[in-house]
Amino acid sequence: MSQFVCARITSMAGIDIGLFEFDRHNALYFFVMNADEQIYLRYGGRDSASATTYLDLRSLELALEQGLAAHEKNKAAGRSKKVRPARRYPRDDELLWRRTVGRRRCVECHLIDDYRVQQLESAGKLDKLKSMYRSPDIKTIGIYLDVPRGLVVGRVKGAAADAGMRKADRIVEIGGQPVLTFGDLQFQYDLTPRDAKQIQLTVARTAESGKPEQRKRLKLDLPHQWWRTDLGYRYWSIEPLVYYRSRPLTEAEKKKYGFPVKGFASRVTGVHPQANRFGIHDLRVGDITYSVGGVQTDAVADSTDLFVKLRKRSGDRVKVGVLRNGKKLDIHIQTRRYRFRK
Amino acid sequence: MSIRTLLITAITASAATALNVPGSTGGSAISRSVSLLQLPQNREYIPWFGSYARALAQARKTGKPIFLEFRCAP
Repeated sequence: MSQFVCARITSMAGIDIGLFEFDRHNALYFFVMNADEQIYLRYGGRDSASATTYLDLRSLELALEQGLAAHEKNKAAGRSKKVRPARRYPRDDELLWRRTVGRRRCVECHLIDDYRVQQLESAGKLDKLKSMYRSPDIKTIGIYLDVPRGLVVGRVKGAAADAGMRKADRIVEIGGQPVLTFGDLQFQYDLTPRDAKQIQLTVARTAESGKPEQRKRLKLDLPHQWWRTDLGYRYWSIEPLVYYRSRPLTEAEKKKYGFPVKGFASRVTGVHPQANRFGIHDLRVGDITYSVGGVQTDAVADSTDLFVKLRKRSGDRVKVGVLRNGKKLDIHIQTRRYRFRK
Repeated sequence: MSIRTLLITAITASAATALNVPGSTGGSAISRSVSLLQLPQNREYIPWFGSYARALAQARKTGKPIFLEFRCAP
């Protein structure tokens, strides 16, 4: 580590968040860069199962070696600075200023995203799919990394296998952008428009022993809703809050109850204690919810709670069709915005 | 490797360097992290800057790359 200048930043006040853009739901995130603020690589990233799926000491060591090599190469080449994103500081965001910087409170990473989402929603400019489903999971397209070895593929199936990816391939580019670490890969992958049908990955493949690595460009056909992940770990940042969870009914269950097969009918699996306490709704575990404001189908949502989160705004009052003990009834939900630490 | 372990190892390693504590020789996660961080035999002090501006200035002065960590305060 003596080969690096090490810095640990625990508050984002004064930090150029335009340059250091990352999914703020990472508990730890690292950059290797130079004094001209040229970023060589990122180290971090996660999946919905765990914050540490892709954090590993051996891969960190590998990333540090790659960072040093990139730095030496950069110095040797005497390269000019890359174009950098426009500077943007927490004080420039109205909500961050009003609630954190201006009050001398800690600018927590997650607040940067939370307030940005609030501002965009208020302005009617929020791309909800992208803001909710950040950091798509590469396992959805069949890429299982050998984590300690960085971007070396440990197992492959699905879209990646169909495109010709093989075990032991090393991913070196996505969409033409070079990547050195999983953090790089996930960041670039996240920039893919949610309506994209295909992405291009380049892999380095070792041929026979003694022969140089070959590079292969692979075109992956993205599966339906390739960006979709379990939102559980970022629950409190996904608004509006509805104070219940539900699981989609199976096709057989929908037929049994007479709901549209392509509808988002779902069974309530959990109700937050505050739901009753604050008069938010009267749903109960086991209820089947099948409509919201009379609507029963949606292109994305497969449950009523997800439909509300996707299509309604915080503070909206919505009418939910409920099947309880064989009887249909309407229950109103007063949606809310999360207040604690915001 | 959990986040907690990673935090503990990072903190332990930097604390060890700062306090000039001899490195561990056992097989624990902590000793491995000390190895990873290449705690020098001569107990060279590796400062962790809490200020981004100071880290940039130090990188300009030394020509070294920056290893920058973002995280919540422990």
